[in-house]
Amino acid sequence: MQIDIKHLESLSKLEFDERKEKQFEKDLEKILDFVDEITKLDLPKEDKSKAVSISALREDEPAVGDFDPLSNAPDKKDGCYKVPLVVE
Amino acid sequence: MDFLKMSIKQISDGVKKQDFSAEEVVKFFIDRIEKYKEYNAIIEVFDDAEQKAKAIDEKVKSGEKLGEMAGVPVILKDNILYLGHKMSVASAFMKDYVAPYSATIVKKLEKAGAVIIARANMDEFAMGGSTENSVYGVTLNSKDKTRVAGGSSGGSATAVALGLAPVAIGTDTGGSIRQPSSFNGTVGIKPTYGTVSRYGIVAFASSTDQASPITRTIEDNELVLKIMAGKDQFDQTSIENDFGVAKKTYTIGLCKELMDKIQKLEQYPLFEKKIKDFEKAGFIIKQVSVPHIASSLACYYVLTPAEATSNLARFDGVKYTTRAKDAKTIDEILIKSRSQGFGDEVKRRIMLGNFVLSSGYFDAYYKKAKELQQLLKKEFAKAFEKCDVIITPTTPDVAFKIGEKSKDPISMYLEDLFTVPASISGIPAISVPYAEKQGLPLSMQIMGKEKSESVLYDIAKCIMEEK
Repeated sequence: MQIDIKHLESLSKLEFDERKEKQFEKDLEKILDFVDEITKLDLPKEDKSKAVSISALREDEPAVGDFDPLSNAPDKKDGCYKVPLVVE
Repeated sequence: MDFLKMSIKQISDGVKKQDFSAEEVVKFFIDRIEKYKEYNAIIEVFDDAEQKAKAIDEKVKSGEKLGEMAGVPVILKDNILYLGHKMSVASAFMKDYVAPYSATIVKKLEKAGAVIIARANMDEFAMGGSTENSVYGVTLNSKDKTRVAGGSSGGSATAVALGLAPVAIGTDTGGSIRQPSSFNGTVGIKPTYGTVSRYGIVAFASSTDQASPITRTIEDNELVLKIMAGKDQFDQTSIENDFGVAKKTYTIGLCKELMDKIQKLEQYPLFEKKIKDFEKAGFIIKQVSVPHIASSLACYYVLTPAEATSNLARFDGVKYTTRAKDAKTIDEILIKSRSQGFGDEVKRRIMLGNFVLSSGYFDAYYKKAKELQQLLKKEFAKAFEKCDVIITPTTPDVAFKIGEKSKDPISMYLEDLFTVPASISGIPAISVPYAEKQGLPLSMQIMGKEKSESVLYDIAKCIMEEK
């Protein structure tokens, strides 16, 4: 199984040096060969329909939690997470 | 007083009757943690543990009614939130994180009178089978210091085997309680999916994650799991589970599709002897079929990385404690914080998850694995029409040597061969020691139908009593 390691790095928001990149490419290709049997299985039809579905969710209601979600933020200001300027 | 010889019930009753104090109990176990430091099972002893024990003693003196774990020390795996205390998921990324609230299970344990005394080492983000992937270093096996503790709840299992607490809480996504329990000779259960609330536990693969107790005895295990169980308004997948009803005798299933693999194992003569013992004890042994069980491992290593990749997207250098120092733009914050913060195994699974979810591969991998998961659930349900439980070894062999498998991810993944089917099918499975090989414990795994934990505990008792 050939993979596009650069594409996966970008999807994963990760970066590697060249040596690590090679190692990861090799590892991932081995793992994908290992799980490859999945792609070859011929499964009965009735199991296909419901497999990927969104389970019933409760009604969405706004609520105030009893804890401060910002308590572990590396940088914050005025009750918000602080990050560098995103939009010019 | 030797609290090591006491069951959880005996400790709790003793504290309530004031035969001894919760403070004495907690001090006894904290001293043991200090004594067995070299095993690296414990990351941190909480400095308010003795204070909390004293508070229990005060309640006893004031006549307040206490629960079934009065003054019983509990160790938490380092992925469970305990208000005001550090929790790091054994990751450099989260080293300074302080829990802003307690997990539902922690609240339940405390309500029962338990005293949380420490947090235990684990594989980073619960990904691994050896507790070698921890920023705090490797945990040693309780029976042989040159071998791994198993993982990912390796710290919890080693801690219980060494008697550092009567119970440690672990989490199990594909075997992370059962495999380290097997390697250390402790009792570990992965309950029916949904039995235990996941609220306040760091998510790895939400559709299979379950927390549960690791103990020395079945009785202790059942007592603690019952306290932890129950529907929770903060976990939409949680359920009420009555654990079912134990019977007088059982039909034990051997899975046809796994038998050739089991027969090739070195431990097979011991396993076979145990099955014969069951027959002698009047149990019926039957071959049953779960046709696609052998594909469980591949299914698991598609589904869980996919879920992990979504769950770990929240670690972005913005919300949780660590941000790369050299990052200037928002994208750099994301990429550099994650690249510096996560260890290799976590990165491997994130990349793998992104692969199976990515355009062009989603249908062939992720969707197919979800279909297989549905099919496996049905196949297990059908098999359980013919038997009460299905038995396998928990692991292919005894604990392996430190470093033996850390270079080769696949050889590590193969450790999960017998444990992942129950995980992806949502059914309960318990690991219980049944024999020894060169002084190292071997365990049996008993899988049952949904909500049949009482049956698993009952059969597990037979195994442990005969041992």
